[in-house]
Amino acid sequence: MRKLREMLHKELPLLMSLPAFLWEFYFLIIPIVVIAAYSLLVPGVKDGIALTTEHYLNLFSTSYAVIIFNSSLLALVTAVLTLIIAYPVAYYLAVRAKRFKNTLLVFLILPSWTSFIVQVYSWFYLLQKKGLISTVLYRIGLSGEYVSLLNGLGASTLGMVYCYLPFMVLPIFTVLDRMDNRLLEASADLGASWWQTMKHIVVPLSLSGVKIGLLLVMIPAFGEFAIPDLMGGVKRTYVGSVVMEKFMMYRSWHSGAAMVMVSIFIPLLIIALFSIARWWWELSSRGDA
Amino acid sequence: MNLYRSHIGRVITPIIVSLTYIFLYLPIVVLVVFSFNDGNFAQGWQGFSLRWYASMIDSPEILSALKASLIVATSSTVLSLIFGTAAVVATRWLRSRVYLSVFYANVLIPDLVLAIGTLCLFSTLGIPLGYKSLITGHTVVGLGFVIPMVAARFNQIDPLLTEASFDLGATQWQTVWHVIVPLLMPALIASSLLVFTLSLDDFIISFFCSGTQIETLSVYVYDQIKNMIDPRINALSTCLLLASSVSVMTLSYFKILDQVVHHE
Amino acid sequence: MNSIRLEGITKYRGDVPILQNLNLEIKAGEFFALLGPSGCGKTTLLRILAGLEKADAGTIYLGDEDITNIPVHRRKIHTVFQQYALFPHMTVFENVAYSLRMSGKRGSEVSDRVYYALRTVRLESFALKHVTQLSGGQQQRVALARALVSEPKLLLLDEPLAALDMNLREQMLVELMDLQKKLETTFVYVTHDQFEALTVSDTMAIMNTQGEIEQQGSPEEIYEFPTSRFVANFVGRTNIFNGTLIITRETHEVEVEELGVFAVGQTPETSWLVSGMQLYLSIRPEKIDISLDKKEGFSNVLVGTVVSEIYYGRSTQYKVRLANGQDVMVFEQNEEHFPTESVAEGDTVYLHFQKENTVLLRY
Repeated sequence: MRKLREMLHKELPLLMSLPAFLWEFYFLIIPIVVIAAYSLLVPGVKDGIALTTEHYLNLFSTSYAVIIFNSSLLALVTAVLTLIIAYPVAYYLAVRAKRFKNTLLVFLILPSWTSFIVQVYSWFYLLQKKGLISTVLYRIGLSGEYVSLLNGLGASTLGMVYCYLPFMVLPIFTVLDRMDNRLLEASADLGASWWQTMKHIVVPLSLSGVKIGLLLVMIPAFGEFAIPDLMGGVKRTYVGSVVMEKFMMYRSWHSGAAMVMVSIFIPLLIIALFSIARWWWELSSRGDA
Repeated sequence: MNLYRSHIGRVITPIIVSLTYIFLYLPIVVLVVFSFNDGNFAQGWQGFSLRWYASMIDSPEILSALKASLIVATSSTVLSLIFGTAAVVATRWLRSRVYLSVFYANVLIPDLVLAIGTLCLFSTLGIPLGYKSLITGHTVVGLGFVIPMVAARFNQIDPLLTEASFDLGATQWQTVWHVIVPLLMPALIASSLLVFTLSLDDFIISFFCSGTQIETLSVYVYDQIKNMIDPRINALSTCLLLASSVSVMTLSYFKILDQVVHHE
Repeated sequence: MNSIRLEGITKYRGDVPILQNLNLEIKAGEFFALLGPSGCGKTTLLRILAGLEKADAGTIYLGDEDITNIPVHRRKIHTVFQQYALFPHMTVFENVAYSLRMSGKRGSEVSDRVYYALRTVRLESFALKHVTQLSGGQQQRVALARALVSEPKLLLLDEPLAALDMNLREQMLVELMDLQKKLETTFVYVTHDQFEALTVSDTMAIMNTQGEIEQQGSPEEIYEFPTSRFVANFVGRTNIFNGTLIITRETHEVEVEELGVFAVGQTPETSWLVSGMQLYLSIRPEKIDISLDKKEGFSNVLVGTVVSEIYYGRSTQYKVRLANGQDVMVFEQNEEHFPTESVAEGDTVYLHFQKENTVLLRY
């Protein structure tokens, strides 16, 4: 008994960290393995293991290709739009705003701390058939009737950008905030215009933040279904909605699993392509200096 | 910083920023304002009224959704806080031979993957979906926030303090309680608030893993949106907004927000 | 009794030995200083004493008790750290009360003793303040009170005054001495500052860069009769001459190349003196008399040229070059506003010193 207590005391660190690691293993790693397993198994086989790649191969069919394309496009457009908006905001917050930096930061994050369903709903409320914007247009006379503005790529993108914006701003802000403002002063002192300073100093330093932002936006955006589903009507289908259908409605878990695995890899692929493109651009512009 | 006499950047940037904030808050303001509207839809202001709030409180579905959300959020927060902090203390201080870096990747795992994975796991094992599956998934997400935040704070603690504590006669356990935990407190509070809020707001994991018996708040709102628009949702949304705002304001007030942001 | 005995303490850091077979004895109730250059291992030794580190070999005795294997929190030894290590989330009172609370004491017993300790360091009115609001010197005193409140058998101080400025340091040194005398607790004070060590200690030990104790004794013994060049140069400054010992029936002399023969006095420890051996002669700068004219009555006289002169306020330091190219340092106290003779750069001068003020060093 004493031996047991001694051993327990000696291995206490390991024991203390065990619950977290076990949890991680059983509830994150194993589930992913299970998904991968489902994606590779032949459906209906009860005994033994029969592997197949048919579920993945099926994804190359036109209908699925369209869906994957839709999601990729949505993720890409969302990422680009959020980047365009987020960058100046992050720059302003990190470099320019002095007294109000923290307040502005708080207000930036606030909307996204609510359920994104609430965020979607707020636009829904505005854009729906009898919503505020439609009513205003009708009353002014710009529209002949109440119109639902919730259609297609436009509204979906709007919803996506709205929900994902803070995820792009924060990483860029963090990196720019850590940047020593005196670098900008030195740059100006040495004769660089504002644009030159941005191009040669600020942008290169912020790239690590941009990368993180892209990761944080593109990976989840690819698998998104709720936002386009609610905001975009039923015109297009996305990877997320397909997954939803396969798991919740049709019980075709195997092809669903394959789709889920795809939704991990495709955004990573896109980002990898970005990195390669940037590396190539950097290489070819070596001649500049 | 007026380094440049005149350039578009100086003028355009504040404009973009203002427009962005208007963009962020316009729908929210409309939402909140019309939650007090005495009538359906945003067709016109029909007078101030709290009827939707009253109706919301009366609604059994909303109350049970609230209860479900709270149970899941509290449980997953407590679990991830205890397990996460124990892991950090064990690794950084007692020198357990494992690496925490695996947890830092949790935040990059898309919710969809975690949701489907949990769904598959539970059904393979034959365990019915419900509180167990939700709390499981949310705790995974929670660990991904608790561990980085607590570890970051732990690294700021002067190691000499624990030595001083021993030197003065405290045991390891006493040192943990009287020195380490109090010094970790900002990270503990911040991460709990963060995990709790994220859990309350979660949609995707709840959508796939709640099963038939439970409906959390976000799933409830989703169903309502799909079926019919009900101004009670405005009231509910306003309340959720309020709760999140209080949470964020608290963190910001105690300057804990900086640490959260800088940790990302 | 709270005497300390360290036997054969050895400590490696990787492959490098920091301490090797170190032996030390500290008497109960004395103020003991451990002096050595930065990085010599003195802090490591202190931490081993405290229990914060474990020696690779050796034994530690506190009184008659072998405490080598007793864990840090059960040794009745407390430390005042160089950076104080006050708990930032606690008030002054809570910091000082910590050791009492951890041993289970409560209530008035705790508060009485805490206030007494705070009175002793004159911080009674700061009891409820947060430690982050205090100045360096005040934090220092809180650290002191915190370590002393539970009446440990031994108090360890790791360069406690290093972070304070000069005036505060001198004041604190006096306070520490008074405190120690009053409490009669054994203090072990580690420092690289010879001034501190000479001021406070009853006994001091010099540690060299190899982690060995070179010499141990009272401040006077160490200063006036160093046993090695290291100690002679580390504590105070000195002039060293390399020469051959000549023992005749009446005298001891050292012959130094190109300079001649010096008459030397006796060192307390003479057993190692062998006629004909190579050794070192040490003469401290303040014990040399510098003058433009040759004076009578000194056992040793040297001639040289003044190479530099630095004015220090209460003293002046001269560097004099001798015939063999060696430079000698001389300190002269500025006793008068208008000295009868003033020595300047370039002057030829006579250096005089008595044989009793010389010290022979083996290495």
